[in-house]
Amino acid sequence: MSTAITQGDAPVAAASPPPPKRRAVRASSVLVYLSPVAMFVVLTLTTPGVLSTTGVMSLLVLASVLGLAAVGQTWAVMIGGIDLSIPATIGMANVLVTTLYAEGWGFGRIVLLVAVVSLAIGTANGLLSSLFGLHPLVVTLGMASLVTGSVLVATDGNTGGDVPGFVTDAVSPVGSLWGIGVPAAVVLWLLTLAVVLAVERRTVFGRRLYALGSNERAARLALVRPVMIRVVVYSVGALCASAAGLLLAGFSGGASVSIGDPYLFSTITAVVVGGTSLLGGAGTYARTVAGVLVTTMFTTLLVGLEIGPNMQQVMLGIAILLLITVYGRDRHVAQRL
Amino acid sequence: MSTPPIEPAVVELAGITHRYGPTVALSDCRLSIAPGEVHGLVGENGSGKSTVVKLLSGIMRPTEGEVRVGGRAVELRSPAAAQRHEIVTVFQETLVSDECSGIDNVFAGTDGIFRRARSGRAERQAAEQVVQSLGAPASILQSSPHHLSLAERQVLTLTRALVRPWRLLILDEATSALDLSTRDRLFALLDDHRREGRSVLFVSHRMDELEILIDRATVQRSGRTVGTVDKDEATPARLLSMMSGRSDAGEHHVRAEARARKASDVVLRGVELGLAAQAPAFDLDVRRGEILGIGGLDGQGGSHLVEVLAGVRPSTSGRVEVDRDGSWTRVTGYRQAFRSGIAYVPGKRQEEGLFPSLTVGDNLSLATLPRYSRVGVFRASSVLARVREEMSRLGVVPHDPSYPITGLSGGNAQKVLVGRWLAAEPDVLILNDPLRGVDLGTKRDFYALLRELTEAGTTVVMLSTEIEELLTCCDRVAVCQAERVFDVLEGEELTYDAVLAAMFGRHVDAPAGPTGPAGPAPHDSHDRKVTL
Ligand SMILES: Nc1ncnc2c1ncn2[C@@H]1O[C@H](COP(=O)(O)OP(=O)(O)OP(=O)(O)O)[C@@H](O)[C@H]1O
Ligand SMILES: [Mg+2]
Repeated sequence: MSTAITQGDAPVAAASPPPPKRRAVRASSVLVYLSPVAMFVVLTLTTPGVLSTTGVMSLLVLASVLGLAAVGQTWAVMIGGIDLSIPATIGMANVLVTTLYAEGWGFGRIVLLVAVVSLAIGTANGLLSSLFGLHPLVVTLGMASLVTGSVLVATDGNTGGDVPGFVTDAVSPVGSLWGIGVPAAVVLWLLTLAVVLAVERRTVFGRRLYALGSNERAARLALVRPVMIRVVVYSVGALCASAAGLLLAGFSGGASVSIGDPYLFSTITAVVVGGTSLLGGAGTYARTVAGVLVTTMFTTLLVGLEIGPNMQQVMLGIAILLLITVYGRDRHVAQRL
Repeated sequence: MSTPPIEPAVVELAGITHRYGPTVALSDCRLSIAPGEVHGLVGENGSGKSTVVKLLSGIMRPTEGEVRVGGRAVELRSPAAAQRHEIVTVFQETLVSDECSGIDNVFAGTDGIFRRARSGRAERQAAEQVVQSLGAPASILQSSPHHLSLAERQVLTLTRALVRPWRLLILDEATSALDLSTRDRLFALLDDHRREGRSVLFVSHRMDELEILIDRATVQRSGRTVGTVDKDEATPARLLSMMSGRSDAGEHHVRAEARARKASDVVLRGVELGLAAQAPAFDLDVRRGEILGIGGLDGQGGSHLVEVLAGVRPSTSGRVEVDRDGSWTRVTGYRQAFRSGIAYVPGKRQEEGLFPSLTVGDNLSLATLPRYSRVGVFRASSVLARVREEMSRLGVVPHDPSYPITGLSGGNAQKVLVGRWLAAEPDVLILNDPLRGVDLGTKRDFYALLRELTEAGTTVVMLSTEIEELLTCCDRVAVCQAERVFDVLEGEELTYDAVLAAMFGRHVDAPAGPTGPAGPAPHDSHDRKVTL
């Protein structure tokens, strides 16, 4: 077991420093991770009041909600899919929490129920997009419609509701978990971030996730189970989206099945701004976090400049198109020759 | 300006340097291809051959130096530009899109925004004619290439080049997936073109092919051009020593002592196996500790057989069984086969093997990660140590686990794929043409490695498209023909002629000689000898 294969002259490449592509990746990831900083500088210069504890915390709370919602989008994109059911899942969680709490359910039971429903949504997404060869775009779109419809039927379109005080506190910029001066929403996001990154980097599951996104046929032969990976990816995504829906209930205090709607566009924006390739097989949630911060601050900036929601959409759209032309050019066919 | 005394070279490279970032792939590269010649380009894995090919095809432009076409310096800015100079290329990686039909693959790129891809009647006929002259059925043009074998995909890429007008055809290891009969037809075709004054740049690791085909050869070593030699000087020994810089490198590879394994000690067996609907069933025993070669022309069942043995493809009838601690367990799928100690190295490295967006290390370790993990979390340091060990055992260059896999040369990428399954330390290792595009030195060392593994108790089943390879490293060879094992050769019977004959469904002593009516006459059969 120890035959070392002898080479004639080691090719020049052997002795040379790190390869080009990695350097290129590194350069662009430096940009990605610096962009929130740059954005923050711009924001503090243009919008008074941001540079305060409350200002920063309210940004972070908004980012937490988007960040949680974008976990699923990131992983779905990394395996070469997309998740259009995130807004519906957010809405489902939001309505269940507020209406059931108003009806006197215990908070623990509600969370359990929401978790079970989320797992069901994720599992269905994963199974359907694996077993029948359906495109995740179609599957998750159908699932979105199914979930929203069911919620409306179950609640009769009732939009009243109530939330426990600690949920409201969790998203309050002046809220503080265990007296550490950080709102619970932000703590929840940071914990999720740590777990998600650890899974991506340190686990067998994480490696298989990248492999599946990179080349499904090869992944199968390398003992990856695509169905299992997809089910987990969409389930984790749905769970995180539900958490976002729960936090949103803290803002409004009432039930709204459509409260998640803006998050379709904004989660995809965050992923793309982070530079995760829509072709799959690459990227990381860390990049999405940068994207989340930039997107949140950009929106805040637009609001601060008193640009209306419609114009905000236009600006975000332009930003995305610009970014896609910059990032979307990777993995050219020429590289595979 | 005076006209040069000799005809200008079709294509010339002068003082070329090419860097991929800090990696110097070519330095001071010189190459000159005369009209009407087949010019060999040889060198070890990673010596820069494919880089030369990409520069000539307009995929990339050199960092420094000049490309001349017909004596004039040109900038090949795109593949279309190369095409305008009538340079066509068959790349090392058989890029065929499964999304469209064979014929659309052939004419891909001839369309434009306002122009449809040319696949009218005349074009279709031209393509069919090329495909048929290569001995493949025209039907491969109609369907999606999804189910095509590697050899058939290669035929498509060859057709894609040959239907275009060309003065220089570049073949970058385009013969490595072809079986003998297709290869001979291709060589005959190239001969005709050569007589009409067209030129071919021929990249190959197969010394027998080079001997048959080339007029001159240029040798690359570590990105540098060592020199160009004429046909009579271009003996395998000379080329090999130029490639490696060692004088002893040209020694012919000695055929390893075939070892008789106990016929009763079987680890893997096929019982009444049927590979295709109409094909007759057969039995096949794989003996413990042997290297069993699988030979045969493409499409005759060899590839199906290894896939069936590995559990990747179900057999149409019969069963495959593996010995597990003394009792026979039926192989029902590749996951279950893996749990029973069988590992499978797939043949189509682009489609079935590599993860283009991952690093070399991740590509290599993916299948064995669970072994280095607790509760799903792997120990990065142990994984890395194992990856490094496997990389140096196989001589992967550059020796850098964090290198992107797309930055490896074809042969080195192939080594990584083999390493992925060597790292699994299986009881039975099933390899589907594992050394495609791997250079001779590495091959020789790999044969030794397989020997060592089998001495330690591993069993190896290896499909190869090269008869020499089967003879060099296998104890027994099962030759497939018409979707069944036609013959299993061993000991004295295992000769070049016997394998060749069996490929065409004949036994050596049969009166019709080695090639039956089923196949074309081998291009140059007297010239074939074991030259590894
Ligand atoms: N896209 C790339 N990025 C970085 N390095 C590269 C890239 N392509 C090739 N290289 C490096 O350039 C060197 C030459 O590679 P090339 O593909 O030309 O070798 P080759 O002679 O064709 O080898 P083989 O016989 O294995 O096909 C190698 O060291 C390889 O690692
Ligand atoms: Mg090459």
